[in-house]
Amino acid sequence: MNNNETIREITVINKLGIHARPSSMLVQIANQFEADLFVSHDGQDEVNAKSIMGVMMLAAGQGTKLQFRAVGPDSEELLDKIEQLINSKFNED
Amino acid sequence: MKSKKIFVTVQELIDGLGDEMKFKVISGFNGLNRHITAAEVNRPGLALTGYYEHFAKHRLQVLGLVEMNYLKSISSAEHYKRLAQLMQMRIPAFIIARNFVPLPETVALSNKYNVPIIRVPGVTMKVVNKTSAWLEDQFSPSTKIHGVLMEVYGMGVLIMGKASVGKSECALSLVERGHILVGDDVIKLKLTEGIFVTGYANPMIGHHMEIRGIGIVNIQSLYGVKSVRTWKHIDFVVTLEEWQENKSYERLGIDNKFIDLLGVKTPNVLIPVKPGRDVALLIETAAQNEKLKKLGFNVAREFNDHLIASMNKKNCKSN
Repeated sequence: MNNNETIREITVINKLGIHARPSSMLVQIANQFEADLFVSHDGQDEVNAKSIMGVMMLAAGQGTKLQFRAVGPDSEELLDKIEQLINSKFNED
Repeated sequence: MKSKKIFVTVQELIDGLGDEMKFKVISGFNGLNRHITAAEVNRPGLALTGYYEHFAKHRLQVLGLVEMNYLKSISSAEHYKRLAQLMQMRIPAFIIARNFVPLPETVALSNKYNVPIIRVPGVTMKVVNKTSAWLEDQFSPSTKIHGVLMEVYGMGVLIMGKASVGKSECALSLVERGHILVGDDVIKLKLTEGIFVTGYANPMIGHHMEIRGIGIVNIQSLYGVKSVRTWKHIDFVVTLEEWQENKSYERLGIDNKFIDLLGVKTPNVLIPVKPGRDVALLIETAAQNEKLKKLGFNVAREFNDHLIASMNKKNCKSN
């Protein structure tokens, strides 16, 4: 029960993609939850979404489909928050 | 705590600049407590001819070649009258440049009205510049703050933070690594030339530091004179604070944060402290990073530009 795994695909819609500022916002949210969060795209290796350098390394531009995998008791809430953040275009466009 | 001097006495001027400039007071000794209230100095040329309108009477009056020769050229009675009029305006003091010897009338009046006369060997313009620069410095706004001032890789770093957050220990660590201590605990800040904030060690404390658990140590005797200096322009401020779990700290460093020091916008780096974090190393890194920024390189921004460019390239390919 404590190790709920939730998987969700979220598409990046903001114009500049996940550059430094969005990465820091994403990591900041991920760090507020107990669940671990991993992210990947195109079936490449997952990166830890609690690490800012890892998230930036994805170089996820506009239109990129990201696979998020959250593991932990609050994984659902975490992914809800992440989805909200990405859909809000990081308050950018 | 911001304070600004409104006057310096003639005696303070002599104490501060006398040795360097070779000031010699020759008369008017009773007037050494007179107040100088302006940083500018004045050459009283026109006032000596009898034109007193707009005469800058609050300023130090510097007599040079022109004034001295003019006084020689007029009659003794005239000399007496004009100078008496000047001295009654409560001017702070006369400085006579080039070591000219004042006429007996001038000396007599100086003693009568208690206006000191100071003789200086330097040429007039030098005397004017030096004196007004010193006065400017005295009149610039200053304040005292609680912190440690260090020079790290040539950068002036003011370390601030609550008592017992580890400022002194961190400074000790930096000195151990070869950096330079300016002062600990009470630092006097002064605005110099209107743009620099300069920090000075408290002369009483000098290069002593209090380290909890050990007591008072003297950095100069422990690490040698290479490890200390008495003043430094401040390039940036490091604020140390206890790590708070739910607070989000700077992760990128793209946007600079600033703190106001005597009206000067100074870069401010907030470093959270917790066991296991080598704060001295972090400050060394921050100093090098600030140095790069000063030279025009913002590493975080360049990294981000590069990232955005590579995402654009990828998007172009896939479209």
